[in-house]
Amino acid sequence: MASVQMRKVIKNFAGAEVLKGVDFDIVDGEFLSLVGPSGCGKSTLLRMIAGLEDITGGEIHIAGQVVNGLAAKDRDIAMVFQNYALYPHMTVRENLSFALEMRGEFKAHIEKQVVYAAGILGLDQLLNRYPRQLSGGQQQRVAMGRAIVRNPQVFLFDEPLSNLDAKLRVQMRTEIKDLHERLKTTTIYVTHDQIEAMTMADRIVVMRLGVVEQIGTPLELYDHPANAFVGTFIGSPSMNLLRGRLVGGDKGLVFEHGGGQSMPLGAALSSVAPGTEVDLGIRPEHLTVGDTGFAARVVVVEPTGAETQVVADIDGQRVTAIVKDRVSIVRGDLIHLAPDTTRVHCFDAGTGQRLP
Amino acid sequence: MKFSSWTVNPTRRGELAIGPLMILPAALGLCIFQFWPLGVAILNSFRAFNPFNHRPNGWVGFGNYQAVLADPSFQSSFWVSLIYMALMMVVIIPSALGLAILLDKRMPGTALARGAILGALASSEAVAALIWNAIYQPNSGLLDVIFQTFGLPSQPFLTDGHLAVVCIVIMTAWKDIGLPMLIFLGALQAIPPHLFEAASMDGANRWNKFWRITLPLLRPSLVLGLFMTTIAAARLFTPIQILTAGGPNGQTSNIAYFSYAQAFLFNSPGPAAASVVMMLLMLVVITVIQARALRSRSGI
Repeated sequence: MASVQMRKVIKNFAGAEVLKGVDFDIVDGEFLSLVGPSGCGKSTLLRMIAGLEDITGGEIHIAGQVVNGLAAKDRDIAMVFQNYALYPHMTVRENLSFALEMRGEFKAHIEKQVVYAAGILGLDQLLNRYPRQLSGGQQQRVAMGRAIVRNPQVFLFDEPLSNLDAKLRVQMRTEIKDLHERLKTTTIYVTHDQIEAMTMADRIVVMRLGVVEQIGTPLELYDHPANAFVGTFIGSPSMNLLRGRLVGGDKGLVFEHGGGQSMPLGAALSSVAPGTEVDLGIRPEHLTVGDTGFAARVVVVEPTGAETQVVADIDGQRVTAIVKDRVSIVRGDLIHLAPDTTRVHCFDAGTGQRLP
Repeated sequence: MKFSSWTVNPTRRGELAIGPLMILPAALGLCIFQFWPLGVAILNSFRAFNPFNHRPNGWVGFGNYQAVLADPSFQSSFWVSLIYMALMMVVIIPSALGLAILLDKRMPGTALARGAILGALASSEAVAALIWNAIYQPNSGLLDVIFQTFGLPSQPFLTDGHLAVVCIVIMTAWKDIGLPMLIFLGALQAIPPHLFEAASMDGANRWNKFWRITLPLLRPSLVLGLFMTTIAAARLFTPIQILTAGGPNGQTSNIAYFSYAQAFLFNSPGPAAASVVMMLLMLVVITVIQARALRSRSGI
């Protein structure tokens, strides 16, 4: 186990800067998730930590040692690839023992480690099979087993669940989390799926266009997004953003929506200067269907069983509300959506940064 | 919906008629130019022929085979055939693999090298043999001139039996290396790069990666290259005809050349056909042994 530090890490590809000075720390034993949309640089950063990409600028420290010039094999790191990267001509046993053989370990030790990893991951019965004889989930487990046998300082996961079907993905998510709880090995997990990040990570690093937008625990990110991007990226369905202006009123600020409707905010956002052009962020579960609030025309009703997602149109702007109770709303109905004003978020319309 | 084995899927009914038609030209060509001559050769190998009009005039059972097997020139040709096969495998397969690995690295000059190698492959066998004939010429040939420049004695490239076999193999390797190289190059480029990345993470050095990842994953192409080279070596004819005409003293004659000589120089169609059938049998035995030896457990 080891801590990992990024110090102003920069990566250029043919003159294009894909990582623009990334700076953060991962503490010993932590499960950290790098999350962001495609092209944000998260996989590149992971590959730089692994030693599979050169570092253009800055420093990466693992266990206090700068590893910029260190080859991948000398970093004592194991990586689980998106497509598993199992050696197709080797059995599961051979796949698991390969790294230890490369290290020149004794056969008895290799066998012990293989049996240990196979036991943890339930691969005991599959040791003599070839990867093509395994299901996606089993291949995924072998890929993890290959990482475990080495007992590395850091585990790296590069979107390991994206090739699995939805049900298996949820199951493997739990298994990886459980594995981390048992082994407590420092883990860096790249995903574009914010649900994966939210459910698994101790802390999340949200990235966009080569820049870290916010670092925090899942709930910190959910409850206090630093900007509109993080607000909308974290959470499913996404946070609603209503563009408008804050104006002063008798009982506090009033949000005037661009479409003409207004909503008194009470004591909320009192520190924001009146007249500011803002995006008001409202999570779908913080919108209530009732007699007051924004008048909206229902566009789509999506029952999921446990709840119903109502997509409605407020003066040309689509919003989503989550209703816990069974409702008899249908497309075309006129409803009123009242936000929980104590839980709304306010972002500067120009910069997207959180206010206050 | 499930269709039993004898029910035609309605969407595929059209294919039933068009399918056989589509393969008909190739099937016809194969029958006329491959199976028919082979059948005739097998029949002829059991026949006697009129020495004047070359028409079959009776059956001799295994007489032709007995005559051929007892013939010292056939025995010599048999061993020379094996030597050609062994030498060509030893020279062509590793060289083609080495070239493919170099070309795969996309270094400067790669396109030029690839063009040159494929150019040799595209050239006519006879033209290539003539070029090499000039290179091997005593005193005026390119190789001898180079030898003389360094004060080395002139070499009997095509007049010494052992050296001539090597010279024929080198010429054939120069000409034929392109095809196995292309096959290996294609296979190399088909290996997913993440396997090498995983191997790097696993602590493998370059040698480990080549030996434990690249080579096993190239197995199907290596087997194919090996079969192709074996067959090409067994059928080797034009370079022998042009460079040495089987000489000196039959020392470069393989079974293919022996068959040609029996049929067209010595007017003995029966023994010629018998030797062709024996060459075919030898090829079958060798490729079966190769296939068994190289059989993979992993299905790769």
